[in-house]
Parts: sequence; C-alpha cells; structure tokens
Amino acid sequence: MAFGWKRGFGGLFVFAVLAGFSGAIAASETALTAEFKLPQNSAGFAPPPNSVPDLAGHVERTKGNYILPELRDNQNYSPFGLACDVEFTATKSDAAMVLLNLHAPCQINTPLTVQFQGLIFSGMTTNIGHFSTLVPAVKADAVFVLTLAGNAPVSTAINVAQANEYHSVAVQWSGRDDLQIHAFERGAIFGNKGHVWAGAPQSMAQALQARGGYIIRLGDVDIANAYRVEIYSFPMAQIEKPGIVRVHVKAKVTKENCGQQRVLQILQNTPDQMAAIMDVSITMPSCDRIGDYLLLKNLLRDLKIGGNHG
Amino acid sequence: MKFICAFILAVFSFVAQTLPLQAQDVTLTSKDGKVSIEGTLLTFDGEFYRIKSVYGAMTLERSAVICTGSGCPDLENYVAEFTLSGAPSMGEVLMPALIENFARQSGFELRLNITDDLSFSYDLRLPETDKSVARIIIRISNTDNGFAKLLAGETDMVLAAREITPSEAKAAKNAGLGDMKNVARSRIVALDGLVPVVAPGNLAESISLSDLALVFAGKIDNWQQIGGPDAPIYLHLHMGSLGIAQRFEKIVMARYNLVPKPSAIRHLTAAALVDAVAADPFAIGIARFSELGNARKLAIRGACGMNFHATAQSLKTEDYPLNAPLFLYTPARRLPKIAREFLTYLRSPAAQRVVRSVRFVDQSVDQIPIADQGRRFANAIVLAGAETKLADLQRMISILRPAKRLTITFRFEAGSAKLDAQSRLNIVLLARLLEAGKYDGQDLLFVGFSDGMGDAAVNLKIAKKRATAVRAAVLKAADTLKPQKLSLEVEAFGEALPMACDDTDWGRQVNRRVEVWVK
Repeated sequence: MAFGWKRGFGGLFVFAVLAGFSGAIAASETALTAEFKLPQNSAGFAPPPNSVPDLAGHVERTKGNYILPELRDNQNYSPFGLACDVEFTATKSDAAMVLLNLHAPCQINTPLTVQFQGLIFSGMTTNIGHFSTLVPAVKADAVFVLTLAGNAPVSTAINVAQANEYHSVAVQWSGRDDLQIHAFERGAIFGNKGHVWAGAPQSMAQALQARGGYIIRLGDVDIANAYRVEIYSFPMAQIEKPGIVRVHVKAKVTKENCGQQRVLQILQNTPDQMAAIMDVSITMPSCDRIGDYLLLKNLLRDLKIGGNHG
Repeated sequence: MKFICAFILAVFSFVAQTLPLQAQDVTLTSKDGKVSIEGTLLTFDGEFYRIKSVYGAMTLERSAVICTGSGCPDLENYVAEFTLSGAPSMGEVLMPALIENFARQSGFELRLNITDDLSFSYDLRLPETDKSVARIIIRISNTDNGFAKLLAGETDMVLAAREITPSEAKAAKNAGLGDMKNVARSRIVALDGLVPVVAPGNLAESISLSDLALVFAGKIDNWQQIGGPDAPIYLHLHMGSLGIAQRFEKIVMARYNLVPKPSAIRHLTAAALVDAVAADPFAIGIARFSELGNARKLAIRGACGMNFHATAQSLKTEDYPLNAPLFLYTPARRLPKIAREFLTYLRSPAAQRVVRSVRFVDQSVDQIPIADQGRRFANAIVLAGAETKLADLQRMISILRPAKRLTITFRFEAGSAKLDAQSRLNIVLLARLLEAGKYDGQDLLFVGFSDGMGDAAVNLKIAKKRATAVRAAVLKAADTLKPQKLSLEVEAFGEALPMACDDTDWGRQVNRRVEVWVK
C-alpha cells in the first residue's frame, strides 16, 4: 500500500492547510478543486514532518481573527476535527474529462464505487477520507454516482459540452487485470506513435496536441475484485481528414481464466449515437495457451472519421 | 380427416431441422380436449410442432394444442435459434450492428458470446425475467462456405458478398431448399461497391476499367505506364475464396478475358487489405466502399473523359459501374418467428439507419432534383450524337425538369435483356413503396434510355420497351396496389442522356437503363 500512503499524505497536507483557516472549512467547491493537487501527481511528495496537525494550537492562534464554526451537538467529527459531511464534486477538465473529488473525512480507507453513463469502477478513500480522479465525461450530460461501502450513494452532475466532440468506447470488468483496448490511429503501426493502449496511454496534453485519442484506466489495482474500466476517447468532431481508427480488444489467457467464460461489458455508440452497454461473455482459449492473447478486432467497432464516403 | 384439419395448419417438407430432437413419442391434444394425435416429434420451432403421425408428417400450431408425453419440448425454457453463415464483409460489422439494433428495438437485452472474431452469438433476453428467448449465431467464413453450410443444413441464412452461382442454386434446389434464384429467397441487406484504392501519398486520381484489369493481370506493372512515377505497382486483392474477390474477377477481369496475377498479395480481411495499401505509396488494391480505411479511392475513368466516383448515391443508382450488393439468402422452409421478424426488420427505416451508421450504403430511396444533375445534362449536350437533335433534348428537359429522379434505377446484365441482381430486387423494393402509399397522389415516370450504338429510332423503341417491361414487373409485384392512387407513365429518350461513353461495353451497359422520376 505504498501508493496509498503517499496519496494519503498528499491529501493530508492540503487538509492541514485548510484546517488552518478553520473558518474556510466549508470552502466553495471551486476553491477546493483549484487548490487540490491530484493524488496521482503526489508521487515524490514528502509528507509534512508532523503528520497529525495540532488543531488545538491552530484554534488558539487564530482565535482573534476567525470566527469558529458552530459546533453542533448532533454532528460527528473526524479524528482531525472535520465534520463528517460527505462532499462530492465534479469539475470540467481538458479533453472532455471531469475531475471528481470526494471529501468524506469520516470514511477513511473506505472502498467505494463510481458509476457513470453505465460504467462502474472501484476506488478507495485515503487515510483522511479523500478520493480524487480524472474520468472522461463520455456524454455531455454527465452524472456521477459515488457509493462508499455501507453508505447511501451521493451524486453530482455536470454538463460537458465538449464530450459531444469525443467518441468514447470502453471495456469494463471486475477482477484481474487481463483486458486491454488497443487503438491504432490513422494507420499507426504496433508500438509506434498513434498506437494507443494502457502501456502507452498518450497523455491528455499529447492527445490534445496530436489531435488524437487517449486511454484512461480506472479501478484501484489494490482492491480485490475491483470494478475496472478502460476507456478510449477520440476527438472525432475535431478531425476533418478522412481515415480510420482501428480499435482492438486483447484478452490475456491466464491460468485463472483459461478455458472459462470471461464476463465483461462493453460500451459503444448505437446507430443513433447513444452510448450503450452490452454484456459480453468470452470463451477463453484452452489452458495450453496461457500467456497468449485472444485478439478481438470487431468487438469494438473501428471509428470511421470524416467524409471518405461522400 | 376433417376433424384433424381443424387445427392442422400446414404440412411442410423440412430438410434441415429447426430444432433437432430425439425421436420421441408425443400426444398433441386440441385445447377443447376433443381431438388428439399421437406421433413422433420431428421439430419444434417455438411456434409449431411438426410430428410424424400415422397420417404422415404434419405441422400443428403450439397455441392450439397441449403436448403430453416424453417427447414434449420444454415450452417454458424454449430458446429459438438461428444461424447466419458466410461473408466477412457482412458478418464482421454489418450484421452485428443490425442484430443489436433489432434486439434493442424489440425490447430485448443482449448478451454477446464470443469464441473468436469468426464465431459468436447473441442471446436475446427478456428484461423482466432475464431469460434467454432467442439465440442468433454468426459464423464467418466466406460466401462459398456459407452456401455449403446451407446445403449441409448447418445454417439458416447465408451472408453472401455475391450472387448465388447457377451450380449453387441447382444444388440447393436438389437439396429441397427451394428456388434460391427467386426474389423471395434473397434480399439485399446493404449496397456496396468495388473501389480501386491507393495510399494517401499516391497522386493517381482515376483509372480506366481496362487499365485496372491490365494492372491486376500484371500486363501493366509500372506506374509510369498509367501516368505515374517510374515505380513498380504492388497488387492487393482479397483472398480468392471471398465473394468480393470473385465479384471483381467476374465484373472486371472476365470482361477483358484476364485473370489476376498470381503474385498479387491476397488478404483475408478488408481491413488488412486497405491498411496494407494505405502504407505503401506504390500499392493499388480493390477494396470495398464500406471499408476504405486510411486508403484513398480512385475514380473509374471513362474513355471520353467522364469519371465515375463511388458514392452512396452512385451505388444506389448503379451509375457507378462496379456495384457489389450484399445479399442474405434464406431457404424455402419455415424459420423461427424471431428469424422472420428479423427479416422484416431488415427492410425497415430503422435498419437503413443502422446500415448508414456503420458506413455501408442503405436502400432508402432518395430523390435527386435536376439541379444536382448538371454534369449529366452537360454531358448529354457534349455527347449528343448526330442522331440526337436539339428538339430531342428540349423534349426531354421539358418533361424531366419539373420532376425528380429516384435513386432506384434498373439496369441489365452484361449483353443481356435480364435485369441485374440489384435491379431485380429493386422491383420488389419499389413495389413495396408503392403499396405503402409512399408516392400516392404523385406521378411516377419510368424513363427508358439506351446506348447510342445503332439506329436512334430503334434505340428509342427498345428503351420504351424496357421501361414498359419494368413498369409491368413493378405492378405485378405490387399486387395490393390500387392503380387509381397514382399515375404510372412510361417515357423514353433513347440515347439522349448518356451516362458513360459508348466506346466500351461497360459504358454501354451503364447507359442501358430505366430511370424512375417522380413529380
């Protein structure tokens, strides 16, 4: 859980800063997201020397300048003195992506699921009850429902008009890490530029610059039987030059799945351009092919761009 | 026997069985309990029992009888099943997209079961009970194999990238599958065409049909010989076992008595072909219009300067000379109800939308105003022969100007008065539109055109005869049509509006046609 530890302290630092301005605890959503560093980016971030903030000291020092929040009798507080409210927000990002942020100070290290547009993935709050991730909006009227284990779902909605310019396809499953989407953009050759997959996901910045697509994998690798989803998004509407993006799905034959049914779901557009989910069951090759990949070229349809057909 | 007839609907002579069952005894009793028949259950398709009784083979409707005995099927858990086998050009993308839309539109939930890219099936489930009620199986191989599977009783429908051959049709007839040449046995699911393609970096724009044949025969093997750089030409074709490759040999190579060069690179899939061509500036391939990938299409150049571009419209009208419609063949036997519903769905506007969405060419009938036919009319003036007088052109324009051309056009097989496959099915298509009242209150004009070979007066007469014959065929097919609903006239302008030059036989073939105009 080394990753979880770093992530935890990355978030903790930000919380400590906020706690310092106790009057601003209920900071507005925008301020909150603007100040947040992504937990994914916190690798290499050194934890503060004293990992438990001295809240009493802060209160003492700030007494004259700040109005303390009213302490309510029926309100529960986290070990850090934060009210046990759950705050779940969505903020627009680049390339039709959405930044999701969860504050649940009293739900530390708690498994959770996020559902959106028929997709689902698992995550885990940090040791200060924080969770944050970037997800493709998939559709313009994006709704995200987050469920903390043992709690009622919370939701947030956001309009991402840019999602209409992107074409997204996805594969989702639960459990082992044995499925991959491979996109070959406009004649890209295996392993070269334009071959986009989880091993070469193409960052958002690259994708924006190259006017190409990107792959996002969601679902915490540390959670057993986690829901995982891999999404490929391509800016169809921004490209005029005709061509094709070939989209393949590869399923690795493992000793756990060989000769068995691998159950998954796919998301792709229906003829009326609505994203739809379909159940899929793959009969995996026999166990003498462990280590091989089953290549499915037509499970997700190729993306045909522009007017080659006029 | 009369009392039995009360609930016996029909007696069919099945060959392949819908649901092969162990021969076991059943007793079918009418719902009022008055009549019962004993026998051995032969098949059950979800709707009909077919049993072998002392009266012979008979078919009884499920809803009319109660089945008792060890041979009775499990009605609660009955899953209707049908199989589609054949061409990858249909099985890879087109049919899956159609099946998915059909199922969703019918309120089913779907599960796709995959063995690999060539072998998969769809389970259609009722959302309330989560119970499978039907399974649609797809087996991708090639058109040859699809017909072989039909003969072997291993498929219910054939996905065909070409027409059935006379020998296949004969074998099917002998196997009791019916007359596969009959329009009732086949339908076009989508239109497609053969398109010469090159890499985006190749500067060629068009190629004549004869050069195309010479290139693929290896008689022309350097780009320089057809106006390009001094570089060898690399040839790419589909595998010879694929219907699309056979169609190319039939309508291009055979026309010039040529065969493809053995060293041509053959591809198993359309995607592999266009990807290989797109990556090599000295390559040329014969692709499908529906799968151009990153390659660039070439126009077909007529000898007198007219270019033929493959477009959705030119494939619908068959003005582009290399059409390659995609057929679905069904045998003359009862298919499960869901299979019949699927066949009906294939003709629906919803299905046409699906066909378009996966970038195949659908069969919805469009209207082309005269304003969009400028090039055609300009050509008519430029190419007007000695026998076409200004007055002839003026008469034609005055009649056609207030009308619009339908994309439905009727063309004939090479050197024959027989309609080609797409046109034969267009008869049915137009008849259905008339029956549905699509053109009620309007005037429909069947306009005959000819090539310009020989005497103009004779050509005009032939053109009128063809238009009259097509109208008669449409009227015959539209048996529920009330003639007073619309007017159906015949007109002919002979050689006055050529589509192509008459100096090639394919040009003449493009010119011999019956157009349909509406106003």
